[in-house]
Amino acid sequence: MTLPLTFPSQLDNRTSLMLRLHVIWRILFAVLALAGAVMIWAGWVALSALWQKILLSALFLLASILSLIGAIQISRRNHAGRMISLTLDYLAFVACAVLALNTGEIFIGIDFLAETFGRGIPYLGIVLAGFLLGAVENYYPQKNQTSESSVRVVSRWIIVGGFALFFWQVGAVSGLLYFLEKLSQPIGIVSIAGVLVFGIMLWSMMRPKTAMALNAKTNHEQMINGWLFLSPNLLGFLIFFAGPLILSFYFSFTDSDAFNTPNWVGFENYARILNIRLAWLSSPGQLAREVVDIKTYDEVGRLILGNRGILFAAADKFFWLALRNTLTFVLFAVPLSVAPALLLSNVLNSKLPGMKFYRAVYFMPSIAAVVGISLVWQWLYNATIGYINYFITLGIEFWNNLFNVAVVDPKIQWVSDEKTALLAVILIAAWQTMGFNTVLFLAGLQNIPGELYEAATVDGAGPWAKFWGITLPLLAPTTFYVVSTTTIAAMQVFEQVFILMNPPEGPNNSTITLVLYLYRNGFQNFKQGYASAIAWVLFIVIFGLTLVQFQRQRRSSIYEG
Amino acid sequence: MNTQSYRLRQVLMNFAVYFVLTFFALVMIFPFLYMLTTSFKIPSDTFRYPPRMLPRDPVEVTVDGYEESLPLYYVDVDGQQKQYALAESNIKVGVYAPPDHLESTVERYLTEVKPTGGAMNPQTVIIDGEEQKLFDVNVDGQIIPMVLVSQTTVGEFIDPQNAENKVYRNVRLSEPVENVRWHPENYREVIELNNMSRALTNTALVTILVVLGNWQPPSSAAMPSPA
Repeated sequence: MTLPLTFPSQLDNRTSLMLRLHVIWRILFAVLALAGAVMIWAGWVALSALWQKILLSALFLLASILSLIGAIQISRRNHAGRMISLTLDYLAFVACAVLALNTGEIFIGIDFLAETFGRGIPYLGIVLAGFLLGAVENYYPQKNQTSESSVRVVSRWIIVGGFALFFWQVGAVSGLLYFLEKLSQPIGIVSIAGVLVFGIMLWSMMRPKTAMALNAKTNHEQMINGWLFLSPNLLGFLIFFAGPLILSFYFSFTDSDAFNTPNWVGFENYARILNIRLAWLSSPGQLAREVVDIKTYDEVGRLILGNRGILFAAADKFFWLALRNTLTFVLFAVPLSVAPALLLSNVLNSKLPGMKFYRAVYFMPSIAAVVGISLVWQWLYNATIGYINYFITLGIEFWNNLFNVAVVDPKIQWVSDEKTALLAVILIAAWQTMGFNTVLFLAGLQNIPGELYEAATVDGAGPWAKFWGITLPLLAPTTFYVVSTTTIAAMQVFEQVFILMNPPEGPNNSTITLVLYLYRNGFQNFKQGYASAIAWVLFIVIFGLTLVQFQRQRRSSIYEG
Repeated sequence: MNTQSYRLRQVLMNFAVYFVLTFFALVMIFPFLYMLTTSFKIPSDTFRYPPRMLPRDPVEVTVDGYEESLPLYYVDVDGQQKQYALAESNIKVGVYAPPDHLESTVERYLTEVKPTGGAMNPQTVIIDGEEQKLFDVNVDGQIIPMVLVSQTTVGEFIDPQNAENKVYRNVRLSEPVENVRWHPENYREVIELNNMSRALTNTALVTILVVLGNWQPPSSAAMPSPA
């Protein structure tokens, strides 16, 4: 919106009346919000959990105070009043619109749509046919472009007709009637009225004349437009991402179990996770109950040093097993998926024919569904009929015949042996992530200027010298990105384990991972408080690892732009 | 360095490049190929060892005198490999040998051979300190008392052209005759599964809504982050 350059010295009557109305409206809004906050604590609104009451009443209280400030600022003709007014009215407008849609059961309606959607699909074919008919026109343009060709008109009507038939078939009419019927309840009418009132208030505040009356500058207008464009994403982020995040932080301090009102337990969950004991063993085989209280602690592992040893025991043994497995997984899966990717990307970067084909092949695993991939690998890992053991057998037979030796076929029980179960998961993950990393490296390689290689060639550098001296240092930012994203993804390993292993914990808990353990706690044992605490510990571990990588990157990279 | 050796080196380099790329490409694509060909197999074929890529069916033939079609197997007949049909399986066969000459064995149906001296008064012989029963075995018209060395189960394989030609072989160790046949009807079965249309619809709806929700002008589309 552009503002006229000349400012009228005198407000016209309509605008000053509007501003007065706005002051009243802001006071009314403040009173209503305060009433809402009071209603919540008076028990008129059915909210069971304490956190819901605190959160909602705090929001109402904040809105009320802001609205009062806005009223004062508007009456003083300050632009801050306009900003406050716009923000509050916009948020209330969105809230009322969502409430109206919810009252009309439009969100549940998706479920019904899924039932009838299939019936309409053939009619989408008509739409596609119409679109293609119109697209033909683009490829064979006619000589005179002045008037629209009849083909285009026909194609447009086919598209419209196809959509109409589609909506008819999926039951859009009955759905719309149902929506209106639901909306005619009191709460629906109230929310629609809210949408209208807040909409009118927004409109009148956005008017150029009102804006001028409140001394709006061009940068104010730009700010408002910027926030307006940002708001759909920002609101979605706050409600569907930041909100649950904070909620899980709150839950990690409670004994929430999905059914009862959560009780505040302070740091109890974290204390249980971190409750560990280290004890000296006088002999490697000494029993755990001789050195720690096994009523509280379970043995996680022991480190043997000569004929003594250290026993590691924890109150929650599974958390530490999961942490150990997850870190082992990261330690192997990340190099296994990054190092071959680096090699392959360098090879792919050569300008030989057919590289696009190889690039596509390498990318395939990373776009495939993890569940399907894990199931296929489950067959490949099968100890008796799987291809992997078959190839091993063939290789050993070949080796034995070649050198006339008798190497015994190991017949590895990939997923049911606790020694190889985690390795099996690592191989799948490395296989699946490698292609994506290759493409990322390839993108990084394209950014390295070719002159550097030419100069190095002139100086007599060989391929290795070029790789170590030019490619690796200049690729450092990409390497950092690849390694840190792969590490973060690997720390959250879940699906492969969950599908491949039966039970997912694997033989003797050999494949229990942190995310798997928190899933078990939160969604199968319904200890959501404890699961949230595990999630936050996992976050701290990932955050720490990433921070270390950032530090190393900052110290080692001198070329970063 | 002269141009010829340079060119040779270049060719070798390219060869190495394609070798490495093809090796990794095979590793990457193998599970997908396996999944694709397995989707055309019949269930019994998927559980076979050693595993094979292409879907295969056992070959069956109709033989005069048999109502049902019979599976074909490769059998050794007089040193020649032939394709015979399995007419009857689970036939109990005893391996018999004379007590003083245990290496020269003959095979007879258990039902054909009677104990020496009749069922009421079986005769025995001591071999390696163990008492063993003697049986009357007919060898070329001569009745020779022999001991039972071992028992197996065999199948009766017949020549599909001439059902009179019969051989007895171990069924489990015989290799069935198979030909490559794809079973696209597996896909039809998947589509006809219960709730398949609903599952497809749900997937389509989720995809459409997510793409619409994430849609941004192509110029500002960022690189997707790894899932």
